[in-house]
Amino acid sequence: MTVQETISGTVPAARFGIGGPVGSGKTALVERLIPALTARGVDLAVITNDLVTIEDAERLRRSGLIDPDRVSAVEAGACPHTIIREDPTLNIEAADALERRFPGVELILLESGGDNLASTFSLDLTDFWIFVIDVSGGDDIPRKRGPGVLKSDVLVINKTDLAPHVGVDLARMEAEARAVRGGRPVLMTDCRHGEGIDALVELIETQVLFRK
Amino acid sequence: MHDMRTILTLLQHGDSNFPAGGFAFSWGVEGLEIDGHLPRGRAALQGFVVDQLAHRWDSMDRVLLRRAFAADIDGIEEVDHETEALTLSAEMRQGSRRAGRALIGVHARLGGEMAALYRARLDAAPGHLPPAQAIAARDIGLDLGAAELLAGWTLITGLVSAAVRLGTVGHLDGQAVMAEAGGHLEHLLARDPSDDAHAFTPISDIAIARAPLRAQRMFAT
Ligand SMILES: Nc1nc2c(ncn2[C@@H]2O[C@H](COP(=O)(O)OP(=O)(O)O)[C@@H](O)[C@H]2O)c(=O)[nH]1
Ligand SMILES: [Mg+2]
Repeated sequence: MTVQETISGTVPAARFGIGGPVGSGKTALVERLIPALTARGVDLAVITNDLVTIEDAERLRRSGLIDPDRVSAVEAGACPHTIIREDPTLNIEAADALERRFPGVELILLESGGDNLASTFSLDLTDFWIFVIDVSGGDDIPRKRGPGVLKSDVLVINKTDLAPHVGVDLARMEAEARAVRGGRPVLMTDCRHGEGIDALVELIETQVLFRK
Repeated sequence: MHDMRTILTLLQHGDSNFPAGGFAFSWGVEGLEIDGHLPRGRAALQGFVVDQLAHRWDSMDRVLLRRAFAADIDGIEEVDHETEALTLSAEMRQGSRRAGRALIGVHARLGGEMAALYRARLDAAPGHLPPAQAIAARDIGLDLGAAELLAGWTLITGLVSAAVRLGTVGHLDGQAVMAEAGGHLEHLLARDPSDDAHAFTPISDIAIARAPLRAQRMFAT
């Protein structure tokens, strides 16, 4: 038995990391994922690593999308990187606490405080992690091949609705992202209008929750 | 003084890279800085660190650590509840519990037997930092002296590294403060502390207690 199993006495929840630069739409994506996953009967909880406040956690708690007690905020001590990679212990403790409080929780979404392209999640923290970049950050981001872009299980390119306004060629950006990732998943989303969320939810059900 | 095995263990566990969540706690440095009580520069930080070492760590945390170090698991739980009762501010209690639970959690995952046993009690026991440090030290085979050295040093590095991240000192002055505070720690460790646990650090206690009122906050304490 792993330490995790002894805590909850049940199968541990899958831990799903959401990384990416500040402002790329991580919280917006969480706000889309919660109702979509809930509609499919997934028992959920969320951890946020806000950088300077507990604003993301409060935004989710007040959203009405999820029981506010199921949202935990973990302070990152000005080190958003460290808390998901070198020293994720406080995040692990927060996840364990959520599992203890909500036995049967299946999936814990962990939103990183946001960082640069070099951030990755510790293999001991998450079972699966995605990296969210956005169109308005520039279509050269995939080409820069940061570890977040390359190593994440799924790369999400968000704010596709803004492409015409920022002069980005979406098709090329997507093709370049696919090329640098050697065929591993790249998803295009528009969290403002809820586009592309279903594909991600589908992927979570099959590859993270092993439901199908 | 310490054998090579002990020194290696201390280097590993006293390293700010040791993943027990310590970097997310400023133990009042953030609050003091925001409230304007920690001016920039080496002198102010040095005064603060030495004050914390003498008037909180040595007189309280160290006493509780020593007691837990000598106790069986039930005795440790008693010390844990006593720590809860002795820690005045709710924020400080919460911080100490989170830091202690994180330390117990990582040691349990690394195979520490006592940590795993105590972890199972954490629904009832608060999991404060000083008893957690005693548990961790016993799991990694430290003697009492080494356990105290590790706990004192961890406080110094935690405070200084928070100050560096908050920009109250530069990285070089930070090292100077650490060296100076290390000397104070050596001095404190050369004699036994009092038996009765007490702390008197009102300014930092208030700074920590004011945390919920602040809009900006990067640290857990
Ligand atoms: N137009 C557009 N705006 C978005 C989209 N996703 C997020 N935003 C906006 O981008 C800003 C940053 O989003 P947020 O989710 O807070 O980013 P985070 O820092 O990564 O969590 C907010 O103003 C969002 O409303 C999107 O797909 N399209
Ligand atoms: Mg966010």
